[in-house]
Amino acid sequence: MNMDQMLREKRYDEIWQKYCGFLDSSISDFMEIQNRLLMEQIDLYSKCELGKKIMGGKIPRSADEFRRLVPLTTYEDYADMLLPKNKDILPSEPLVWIQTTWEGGKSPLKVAPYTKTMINHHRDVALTCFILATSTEKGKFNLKPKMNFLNGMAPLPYLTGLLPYTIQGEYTVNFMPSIEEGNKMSFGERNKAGFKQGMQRGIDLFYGLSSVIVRMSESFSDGSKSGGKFDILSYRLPMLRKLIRAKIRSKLSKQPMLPKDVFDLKGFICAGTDSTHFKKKIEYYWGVKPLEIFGGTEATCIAAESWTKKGLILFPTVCFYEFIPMSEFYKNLENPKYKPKTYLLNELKADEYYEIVITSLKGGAFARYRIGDVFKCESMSREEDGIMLPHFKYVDRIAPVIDLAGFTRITEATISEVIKLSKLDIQDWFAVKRYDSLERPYVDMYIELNHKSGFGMDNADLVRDQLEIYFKYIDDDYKNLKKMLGIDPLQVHVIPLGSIERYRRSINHTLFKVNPNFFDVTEILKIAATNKGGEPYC
Amino acid sequence: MLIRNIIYWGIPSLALAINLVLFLILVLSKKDSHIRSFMMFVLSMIAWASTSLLMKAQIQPGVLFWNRMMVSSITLVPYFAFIFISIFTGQIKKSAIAFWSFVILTMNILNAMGYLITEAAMVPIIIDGATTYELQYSLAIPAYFAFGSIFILLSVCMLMMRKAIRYGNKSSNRLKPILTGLFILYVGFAVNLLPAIGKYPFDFAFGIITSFYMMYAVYKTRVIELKFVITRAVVFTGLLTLLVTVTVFIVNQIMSTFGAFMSEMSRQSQILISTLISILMFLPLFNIVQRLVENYFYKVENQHNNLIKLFTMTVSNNLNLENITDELLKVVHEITNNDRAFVFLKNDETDDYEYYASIKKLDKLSFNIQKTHPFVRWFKQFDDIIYEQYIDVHPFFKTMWDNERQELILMRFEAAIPLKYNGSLTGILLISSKDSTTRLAESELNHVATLCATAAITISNASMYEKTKREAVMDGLTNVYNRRYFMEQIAKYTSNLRNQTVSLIVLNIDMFSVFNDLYGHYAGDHALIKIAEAIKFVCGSQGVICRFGEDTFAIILPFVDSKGAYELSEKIRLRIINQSMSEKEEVNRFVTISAGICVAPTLANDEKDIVAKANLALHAAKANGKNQSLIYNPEQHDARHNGDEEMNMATIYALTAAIDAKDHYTFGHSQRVARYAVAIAEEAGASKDELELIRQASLLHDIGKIGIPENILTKYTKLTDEEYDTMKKHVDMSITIIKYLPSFSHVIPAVIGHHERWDGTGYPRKISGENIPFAARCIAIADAFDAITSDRHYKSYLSVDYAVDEIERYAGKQFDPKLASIFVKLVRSGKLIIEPSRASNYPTQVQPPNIKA
Repeated sequence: MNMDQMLREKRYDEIWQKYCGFLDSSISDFMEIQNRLLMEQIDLYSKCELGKKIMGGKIPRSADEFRRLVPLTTYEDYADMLLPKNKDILPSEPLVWIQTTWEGGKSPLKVAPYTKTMINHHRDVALTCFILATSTEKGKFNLKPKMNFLNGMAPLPYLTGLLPYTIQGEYTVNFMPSIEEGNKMSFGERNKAGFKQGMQRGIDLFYGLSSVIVRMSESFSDGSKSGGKFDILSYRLPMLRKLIRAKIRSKLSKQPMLPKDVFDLKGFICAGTDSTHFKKKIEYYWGVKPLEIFGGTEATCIAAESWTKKGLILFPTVCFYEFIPMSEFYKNLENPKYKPKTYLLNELKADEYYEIVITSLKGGAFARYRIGDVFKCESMSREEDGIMLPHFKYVDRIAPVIDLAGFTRITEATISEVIKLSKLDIQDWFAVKRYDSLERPYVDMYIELNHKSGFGMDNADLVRDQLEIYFKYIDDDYKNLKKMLGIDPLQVHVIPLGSIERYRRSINHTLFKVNPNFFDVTEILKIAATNKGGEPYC
Repeated sequence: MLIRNIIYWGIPSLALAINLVLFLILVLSKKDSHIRSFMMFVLSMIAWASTSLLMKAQIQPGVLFWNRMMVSSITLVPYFAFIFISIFTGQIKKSAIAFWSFVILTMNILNAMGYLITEAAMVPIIIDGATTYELQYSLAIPAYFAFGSIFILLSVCMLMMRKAIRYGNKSSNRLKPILTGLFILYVGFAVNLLPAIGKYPFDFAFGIITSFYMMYAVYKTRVIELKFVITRAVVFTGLLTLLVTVTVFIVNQIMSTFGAFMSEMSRQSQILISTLISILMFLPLFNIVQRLVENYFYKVENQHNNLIKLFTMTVSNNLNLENITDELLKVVHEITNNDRAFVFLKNDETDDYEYYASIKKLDKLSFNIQKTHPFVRWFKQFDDIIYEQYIDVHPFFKTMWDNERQELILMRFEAAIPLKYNGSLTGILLISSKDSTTRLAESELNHVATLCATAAITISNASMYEKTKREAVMDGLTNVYNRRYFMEQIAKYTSNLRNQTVSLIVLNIDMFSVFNDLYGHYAGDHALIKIAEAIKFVCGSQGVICRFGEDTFAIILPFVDSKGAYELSEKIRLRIINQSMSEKEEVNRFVTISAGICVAPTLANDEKDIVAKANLALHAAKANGKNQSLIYNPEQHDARHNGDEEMNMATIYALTAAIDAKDHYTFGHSQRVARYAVAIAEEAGASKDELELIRQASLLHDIGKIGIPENILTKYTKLTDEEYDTMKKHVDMSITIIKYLPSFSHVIPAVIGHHERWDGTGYPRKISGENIPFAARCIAIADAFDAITSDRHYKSYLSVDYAVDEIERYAGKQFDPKLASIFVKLVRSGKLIIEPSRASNYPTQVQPPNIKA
């Protein structure tokens, strides 16, 4: 019986148990699921060429042995075998290959195979997210068949594009725009077309990139002030009534019209880096607490918040999870040969930061794979909600990567390439991710220019313009940051030549070029200020 | 007249009663969209029958009113049939539903306004002298359109059914009854139009049949819920309704038969008489019905209980696992009427649950239920039955592997029931569904669960008995049969040699005592396990594998000739050669085996003969250089064995003589060492065998020096490090030579260890303390003592006292302190006499030797 039928027959308890029942699990139940499914994966993995390569021909007999025998991996370890999309080397036959950009990688793209079972699990996870998004209380949710669904995410071959296909035949929603129409449009066009249809028919469910949603919401409010074209015939009656009522109220109160005045949203799902910074705004604009979810091409969707919308909870059947504490992470960053220790979910400590490591289950390709994301374990359980599983907050990408609003990822390699192409005589530099007053992320770049640089090249604005040209040239997504989100992604500061090197000589640890630690930044800027005789930066 | 009354009153009453019972069942069942739409259809049938009866009884407000109500009900029958079919076949078209809703609503409005039936009355007519009533009515023109619409709607329904069957979106077995039911309803309405037949309520009769057909279709889809609902109470209620209807009909019949007589009575008297008749008729019938119902349900339940009781009695004294499971499955079959049930029993070695038996002998399942399977975890925590629908919904089953899920789908899994006794899960009963629609009733599964609880006790006892029985004939270490079982089996197989060939392979591990001494008994045990596994792997289900002696296995192979036995033996040998015997993979430890083969009746006459001759063949294989299989050859083997030992001893003396010849300074060294070492061992309490071993080892301990270049052996100055390293190799060379003396392989540990030091700084293995074999420790002292007290190329001999002091000084460092103390006492007490030539005065100026023998 599919979800549509279960909803029609009002089998709500059964639906909750099927999709959200894992929230009642104890941590030991969770680990039991993890360990057993890992053994299934090891069984599949050890029989294929990819698995033999990654596991060095060994066949671990337990989760502990697996962690002891198999090294931690990155995409570099898989690239040669996965990029040719050879299905014969995989643990299970893939139904679809999902792709994403590989910033700083040896190929522009990364690909990940998805098996039938993985897709089925992805469907279940998606439906769990729908249920939890429309839920404010344990066991209660507001989901019906054929809801109007505004899907503001990228189409296939990106992971988010899998959603419409996975739920087909299980749960019927009216996609806005329809899947066929959407596939023909660019990301921006799809969002616009979907929102336009939503204005006419109403929106029940909204799934989008947090940064984009906030930008759309701001545009909506700004547009309502200026007043736009109002094609009365294109609206359905209930929407027309709501729109007129909202317009009148807005006029009377002299306040901009907000999306929540027009839309009666049942559930909101948001994703993307910096979601934490955008969630309050989304709630302000839409009147619904958004459900944050976390996923990635290699890992699939691995975590979602509960009905309380207070912290991410990992799905037990999608991946096997390990966690690298930050102390171990930095040891490894300083010395790439160092093997960082990993911890399991039941070994974590509240308030600690961890880099997450995943092993795909159900015939997936990745083992002990570092996806490069950092989580904070907020609490090991929330007894007040009756959830005895750890709750996480997504923090950011790992330090050497700057992710801007989920749109683009900037690494040391990216910036070095840009500097090289710009032909600017930059002697030394470092870059830090920061947020502006509107909680929008940007890159703060500190550069040291060689004395031989041309006239005007000590002007930070000129340098920034020059660098931006090449950022846009090598990274398409960078362009969209300004175009779609209105973000100025780069700020440049010129600091006196030799400041960074002076500091570097005074320390015993490695100074990272991207996101060096707070103390390092402060100290460099103090040196820079002293050299220049002015105020310290920062 | 009676027939007429039956037709007029009986058929609508029966239709009413039947539809009421159906409705009651549906009300009590778990409802879904199918059930709800079907309930509306049944309600419309009830409305049709009840309005018809009310009209015929001429109840207020009158015939015309009830007639119009009846017509409205008739319009609703095809309408709800249409809705039901739309939902049932999944062909929901909102526009079509809206259209027909509009049509039916319009018809009913017109009917209420009197545009369909203009007049209706029950007209008295006299048949056979008795007055009866017949319905007469007038139709307005719109009524013809209305009836036409009903036929069109019924036709649409049938077309939808045909489409559904053709495109196969539901099993045609479940759609065909509905199509048939609709056709019957269609015919019922059609014959109504014929004036001659139409005046009889054939439409009702056909309507009853339609209800049954549709009920059947719903039942097949929603069988579990409905089966639960048809309980004693529902059946009883249904029969009671029928009984009341029949009673009313009969009383009515009696009253009308005696109409003339009754009309003279007062109204009160008439009521009294009819009540009395009703009571007189109803009570006995009620009692009969009640008894029948009770009996039926009691019978079913009692039958199940009796089966369980009988099962308990049958298996209570039975310790044969196969019989118990067969009996269990037989009863499961009788309770459920399902022949697809499977028993999985726990394998005590792996803790997995393995397929053991099924109702149909050939209906085997090829999978095991792993000990980590969620079913096992579930039953360890709960005693509840696992239903098929749990698998998808309950988070407990999220640990299920894809192939495990697939296996359950393939077997059409319906329920799993634990065989649990005293908190321990001895087995699991899996039940498959008979087909895609039929499900077992909960009460049936509960009975099976009770049965399994009883069976678990006997299965547990029987398993324990089988285990004990098995353990009595099994070798605990290697898990192959033991020697006792071997003797029984070889006697059994050789008792009838006229009719069958039997081969016997006796396998012995080459130099197993050496392996044990080198790596310890724990590693030796592990090697035995691995060798047994290798033999089992190669033999599969072929033959009887036994552990015949400490390091010897025997395989009895009925119906296998010498060629087959030889090939099998070679396969085993090759597998063992290539398999490391280490427990962990970091060090490879290899062993070889030798095998002797004999075949009866060709080469042997009875069990003793075949065993003896296979052993002779084995000895021949050993003597021939080991690591080979040999078939018994009467001409060679019997002669070869005699005198082997003497020949070997001669070889030893020849070899020691060769050393002495090569380096005359060491002349007689081996013999002296043998004498001293044996003296130490004897004083330490060694057995006779050990003393013999030490003697032999001492004689052979320096045999490897044959391979050391003469310039090193006879060097006058101190050896360089490089030369000393070469000299050290004499230990390995000794082993290499001894390997070729099959009867002396047992001395290898003593020889290999005679340069080890108590503190672990010796060579070649740097082992320490009591890890150094006892014999080697004795030889080490004797060897050092003789080296000090003898002339060498690089030094003159030193005094016995000095040598004894040195031994004492190095006790606990180079030598075993206990044995060193024994030796010192032996020499000082004079019990051990040192050769005089070596015990003369000794120059004290000579530097104390570096004790390197």
